[in-house]
Amino acid sequence: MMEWSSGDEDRTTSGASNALNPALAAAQALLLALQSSLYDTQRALLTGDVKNLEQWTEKQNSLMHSYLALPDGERAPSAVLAALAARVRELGRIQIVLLSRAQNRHRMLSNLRAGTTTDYARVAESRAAACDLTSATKERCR
Amino acid sequence: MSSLNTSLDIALSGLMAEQGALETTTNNVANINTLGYSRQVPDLVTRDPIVEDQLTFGSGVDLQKIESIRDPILESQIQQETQTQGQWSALVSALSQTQSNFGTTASDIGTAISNFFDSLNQLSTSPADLSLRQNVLTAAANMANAFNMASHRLTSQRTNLDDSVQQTVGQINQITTQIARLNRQISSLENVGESAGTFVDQRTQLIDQLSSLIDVSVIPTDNTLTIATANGTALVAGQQSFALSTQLDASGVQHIFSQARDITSTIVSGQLGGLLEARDGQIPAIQSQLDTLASGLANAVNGVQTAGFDLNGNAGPDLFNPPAATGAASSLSVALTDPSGIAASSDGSVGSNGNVEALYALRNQAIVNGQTPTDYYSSIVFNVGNAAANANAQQSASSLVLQQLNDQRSSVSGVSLDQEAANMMRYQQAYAASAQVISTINSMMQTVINMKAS
Repeated sequence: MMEWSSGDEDRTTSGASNALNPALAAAQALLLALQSSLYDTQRALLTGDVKNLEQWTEKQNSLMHSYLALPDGERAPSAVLAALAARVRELGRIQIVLLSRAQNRHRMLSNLRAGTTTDYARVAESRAAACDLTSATKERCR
Repeated sequence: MSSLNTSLDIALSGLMAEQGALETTTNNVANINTLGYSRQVPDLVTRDPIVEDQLTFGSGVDLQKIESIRDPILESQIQQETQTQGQWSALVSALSQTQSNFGTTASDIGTAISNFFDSLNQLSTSPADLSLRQNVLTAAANMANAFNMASHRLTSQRTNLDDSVQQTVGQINQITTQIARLNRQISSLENVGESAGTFVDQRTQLIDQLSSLIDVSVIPTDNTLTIATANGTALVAGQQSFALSTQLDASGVQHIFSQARDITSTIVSGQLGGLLEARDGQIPAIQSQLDTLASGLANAVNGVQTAGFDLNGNAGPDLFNPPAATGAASSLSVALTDPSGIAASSDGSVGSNGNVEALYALRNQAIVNGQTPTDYYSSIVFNVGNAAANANAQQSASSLVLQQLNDQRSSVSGVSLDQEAANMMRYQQAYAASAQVISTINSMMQTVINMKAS
């Protein structure tokens, strides 16, 4: 069973044990920060802590931009970076699952709140219409 | 007016009640590490008062019942999450195994396809060279073998999953029988007003176990409960359990029956749901994609091969035996045994390499469902990897949620040593006070007896 402590161990061991080429150190630091932030988001998602969820998601965005802005040479494949990137990808997938679960839960609650008199067909139609606006929204609405 | 005896009785009731409460605390402390144990609390109630003329006298205290602390909504959430967890665990296990079939090895399908086209490329440099022709036949046989092996491994995996389905059904039957027995014990105890907390804890644990195996919904009824699958097939109704059975269908896989009704397609969650999804959904889909690739490739190669001429100037025979409509990957085989039969020539002359170049050109042509063979194979590998990674993420997310729910359950139902220590002191002091009252009444009685004697 996954526990918080395992995440905390990851945060320390990944950073401490791997001496890296200084050129790649920036990429490693960013990936470690991203990993740490993803663990924090998991915690926020599970406890329904919306404020921190926003905060960590913004941080992840900025970390991702910083990472992608690094020169290619500083993101060159190395065993350490590849392992870190794989872990970040895995945490990202878990976050997607948790987010979609949270979304379902909120949809269910909003339906409950709407009560029995709501015209669900109309709600579905308006939602579909909103989702048809742009391809980007469509992707999000799926 | 009440007598000293009444006071004694009241003090005694306090003594008994505090003793019972202390026993509850002792039991809680003893079970602090017992899995699934729910904290118990004594329910102390005031005895009915005695009314004499215009005065009302209290008559003591009763330990009415010992109650286990549970949150039914939390229990239900845990059961649901356990089902999800069971489903994804089964899928992760199955897909990890499937994924290992598609790793890059010397004998994997991707490498074999690549080697086959490389051998054709080499032959085009010297189309009459018998050793290069033999290399093409060997590479074709290796490719067919790679398809056969991959398909065979998927079939074996399906067979193993089928065995697991049978075993899981057996486990489900065992658990439902135990739950029905516990229902009987709980019912008989609660009907006479006794506490059945320990049995309820055992039943809760069994329901958790059952939830990890199959999708269940629990419907509480008077002093008992009914357990059904998500689509309403009864597994336990009060004191009776309904066993599931398995039966082979025409295609050779086990179907699940409840009272002669096939419920296989209705099981979507729990370990059984995951096993069925892998056995009947994921693996057959991969097998079908491999069949499409094998038949697309073999038909395209045969088409070009029969349009050219062999080393003797005759029309080229099929290189592969025409693939079957279903199971092309498992039955793919090379028809040609004579290397001179490879139709390298496009005009019948010995030195022509026009047709072998056409054969090689298939490598980059969309001959399998609108994709090149390599791209199609890559998409299969990608899909398998993606499904495995997705299942892993789902399982991890489910573990996190389950962990959190279990922590919540512990905070509601778990034993806190600090709390129990405080309770123990409280009950001990109350017991001592009741004992002191008895002692005082005793001395009052002694005074009365001495008054009469004097």
